[in-house]
Amino acid sequence: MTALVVLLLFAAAVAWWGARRAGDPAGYFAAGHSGGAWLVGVAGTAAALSAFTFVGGPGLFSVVGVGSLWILLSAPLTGALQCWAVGEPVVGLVRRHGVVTVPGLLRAQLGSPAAQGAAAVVIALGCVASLAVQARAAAVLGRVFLGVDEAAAAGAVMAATTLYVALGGMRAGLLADAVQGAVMAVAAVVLAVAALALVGGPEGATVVLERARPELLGGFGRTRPADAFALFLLFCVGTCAQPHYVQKFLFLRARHHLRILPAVLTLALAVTLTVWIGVGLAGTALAAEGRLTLGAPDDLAPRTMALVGPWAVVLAGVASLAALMSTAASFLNLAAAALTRDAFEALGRAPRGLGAARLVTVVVAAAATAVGAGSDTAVAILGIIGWRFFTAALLPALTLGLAWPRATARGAVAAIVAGAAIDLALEAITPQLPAGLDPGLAGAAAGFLVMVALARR
Amino acid sequence: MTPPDRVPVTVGACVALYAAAIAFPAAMPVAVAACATALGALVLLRRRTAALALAVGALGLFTVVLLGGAWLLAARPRGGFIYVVGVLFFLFLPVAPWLYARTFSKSDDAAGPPAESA
Repeated sequence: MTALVVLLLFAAAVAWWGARRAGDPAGYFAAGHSGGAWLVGVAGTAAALSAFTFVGGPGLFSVVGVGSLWILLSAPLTGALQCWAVGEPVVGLVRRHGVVTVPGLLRAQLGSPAAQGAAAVVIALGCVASLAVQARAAAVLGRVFLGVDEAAAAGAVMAATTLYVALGGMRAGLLADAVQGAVMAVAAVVLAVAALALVGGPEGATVVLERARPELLGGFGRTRPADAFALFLLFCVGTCAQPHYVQKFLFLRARHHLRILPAVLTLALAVTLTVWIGVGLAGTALAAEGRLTLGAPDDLAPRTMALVGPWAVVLAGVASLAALMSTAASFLNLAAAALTRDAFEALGRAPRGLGAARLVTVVVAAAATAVGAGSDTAVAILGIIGWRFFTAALLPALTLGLAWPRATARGAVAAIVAGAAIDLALEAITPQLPAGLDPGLAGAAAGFLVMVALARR
Repeated sequence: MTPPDRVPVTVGACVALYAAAIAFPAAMPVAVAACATALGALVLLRRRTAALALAVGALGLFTVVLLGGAWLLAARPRGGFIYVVGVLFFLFLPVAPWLYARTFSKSDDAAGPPAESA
């Protein structure tokens, strides 16, 4: 309970700081285009990595083994890929048009309110769903790390995040994300090392699993190789379509900061992801030895930490809360921008003011908390579904749409609709799909073909 | 003279490769690397330089080789795991950021500070 009180005090301080500096749309939605590479890189990584990294990822390792790591194996590529495919065009559009929202990028580039509106709808829907994932994670974390009621934990964490995002927008969000990112990185390394020490290091854990559960090792664990490669591709190209990833490019204050941004992103990502590999490997080995009992995959991380010691439980709880708060902050702000700014502009009306954005932030947070806290689906599965949806709907529009001179607004809108529809249709029948056919990738592929078919002659 | 527009052919080839790899999973390393590289190659629509084309191409080739290695070690519990974590993740980390920094162009900076927000 003390941790939740500290959390609320931290949120109040950041909210007070941000509210004094987020007086216009650029400050509220784009942090005043004021960030350098290190600030944006660390904050962007914190926003990108959710509780999925601390809870869902290690839990998934216990089920499919090395197959789960294919989600993060694209990390070496994604920083450069994002900057080449979307970062450079976004920074250029900010400079030329003063864009402050992700859907606004499509309007500025393609001159189309329809494309802006379609992207706004997708982002609003996807953000509410993704926020529900964070609320679900907060509920699990509160129960297992802090020993508090699930609903109370989800409510407190979402309320704290909502406080500073509603008042200070991304001015407060960028600062909070950077602090949270630093906490996550340090905690991730400490927790991974401590967990692995329980089983004799990576070597000891590998020996245990090779003897007791060899099917979890190898190149792909229990995942079919084609599915593992599809995960790699989904999480590689998908980074260019996640609105909370693209949003960070709006925060940069000058183009030259892009030069080292991939290095900062990759470093921060790699350091933080050690918790997934380390705790996943150690916890699974402990379970194989019978020293740990798992009721559900999401129990792996907290129960491993409990074996390490009380300090590890607290540190893991703090790091996990930091991870989910930073991600939730971005989704809240993106949803508010889509609903109070982009949706109105797409309809030819003036965007609502920051008061409306603050109100919508609160409403969206409440709705997502209600949905997420009541869900029984594992955090990892919910996280992957959200990632796929954004990839399918937004990848063609945000890459070809911003970079290809022949791209049209009609093509972008059709690609968004087709991608989202195909992803949702295939998501319902995922178990029946052949190996390697990912709903998100299939939706994106259809979207790319549609954009090319409707291109300028 | 306007350079030929390779986007439609590239999109078609990537979708076809991905579809083929679903039918013949051994082609997955090539399909995955090709699709990822094609996305990065969008930068060539704005900055077509030999150095940049070489960097993107080299990254694609490197990715194919590394992904192919995982395929070859799939059935070896210990070797496959060490390769995936040690080589495909940790050793691969600095390559793309280094290539990006080496080929980065500051040319658009001449446009000055951000415009007044809408």
